[in-house]
Amino acid sequence: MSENLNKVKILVRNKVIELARENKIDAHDLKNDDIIPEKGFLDSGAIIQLIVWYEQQFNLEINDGEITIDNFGSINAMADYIFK
Amino acid sequence: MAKSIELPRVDANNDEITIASLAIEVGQKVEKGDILIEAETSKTVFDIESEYDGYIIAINCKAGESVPVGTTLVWIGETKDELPPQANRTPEEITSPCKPKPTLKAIDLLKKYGLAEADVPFSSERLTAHDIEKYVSEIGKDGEEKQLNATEKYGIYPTARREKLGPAQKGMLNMVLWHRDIPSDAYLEIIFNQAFWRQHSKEFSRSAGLLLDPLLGLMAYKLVQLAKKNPIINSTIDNNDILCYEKVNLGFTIEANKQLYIVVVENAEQYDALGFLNKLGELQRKAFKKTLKKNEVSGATIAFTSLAKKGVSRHIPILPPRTSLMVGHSDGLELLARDSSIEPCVFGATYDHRILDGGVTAQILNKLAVP
Repeated sequence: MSENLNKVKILVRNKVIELARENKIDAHDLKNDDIIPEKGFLDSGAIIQLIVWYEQQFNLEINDGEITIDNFGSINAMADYIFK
Repeated sequence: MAKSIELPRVDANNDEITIASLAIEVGQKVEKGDILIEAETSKTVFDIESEYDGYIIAINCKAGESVPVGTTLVWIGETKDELPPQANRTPEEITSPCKPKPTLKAIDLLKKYGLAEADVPFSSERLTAHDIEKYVSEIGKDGEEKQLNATEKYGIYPTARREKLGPAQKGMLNMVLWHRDIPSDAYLEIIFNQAFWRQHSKEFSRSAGLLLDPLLGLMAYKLVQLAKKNPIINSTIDNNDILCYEKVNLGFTIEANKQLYIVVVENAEQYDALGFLNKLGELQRKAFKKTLKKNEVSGATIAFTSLAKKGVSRHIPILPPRTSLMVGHSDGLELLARDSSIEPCVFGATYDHRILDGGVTAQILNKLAVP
């Protein structure tokens, strides 16, 4: 499980870096427990793109009420959410 | 000898031009360059100036009158007492003051093209071959309006690849054309301190545990509440009636996949603030997934848009079809703020002046400026 968790974290992190790069921002410094919206690497549009990617990548359908800072605010939180 | 001032042709479309006002009266002394008459077409207002020094001895038109191009409008004499040529004409000539005598070459061309003298505007006291050739090139030999191709209309452009408009682009085109053709749109804006909204948004986000910054969504939600309390801003004009929509369908612009959408939160007033934000979030995700349904991109009764964080100080939004108010948010003025406690921000609104006025619109914007 921890191996799968780490894989998810890597995938999410790479996606964040990719989305940030589209806005000419370098997000390589992002740590797994950093609060993504607070770091400023992604704007609102990019965060929505991250959520959409996440749903498609892991074949999930997320209810609106579950898109919270607790569930998706960091790489760790996003990885943990899959295994809830 | 008296000299005439004729009504000039200003474009190919207008064979008659309206006399807006007269700046002269009979007996008045004028100099070359003096404005004699103000004339107008549907597209422009222009002055007709005197080409001579002298005295106004006859005015052959009046304000509000629509006059054929080429008509003699004014006679200018060397003295006040000089008589205009009309005074020396036969009754037949007087009753047809605008009937020019064609030159011999003009007569041949009239026969060649099957035109009557009265069809062709003339630029001097006689109908000339030049007048006829110019008329034919503008109108076409069969008398029908000539369809100009793009090159004739606009000039020479490089070759271009033709591509079909996508659904979102067609939607945008329809929206822009409606905005251009139907409402009598007007624009105004207010400057306000966004710091109060920022604070309110942070507190809301913290208490609800939100992932996304709810600032713009909360502003849009406030607009929904204002629309419910002020039905006139949630209305449109249809024929000569006001249609007050029974529901508030809030249109909200988003950019997804490099396309601009107006997603529509139907019956937005049914939601509380968090419910509205969740619904908006759902529509935004659907836009990225390209799974929006038709009712989720049409039917807006009022709309909100923002160019936040793009350094824009103002933008004039295009009204979605059958709306009378769209609020545009811009925060580019933040760049100029020296006092960090103040966040200058702009709410602008495009409104249909057939139904709203500046007072009502400014009142709504000022209410919107406070959370």
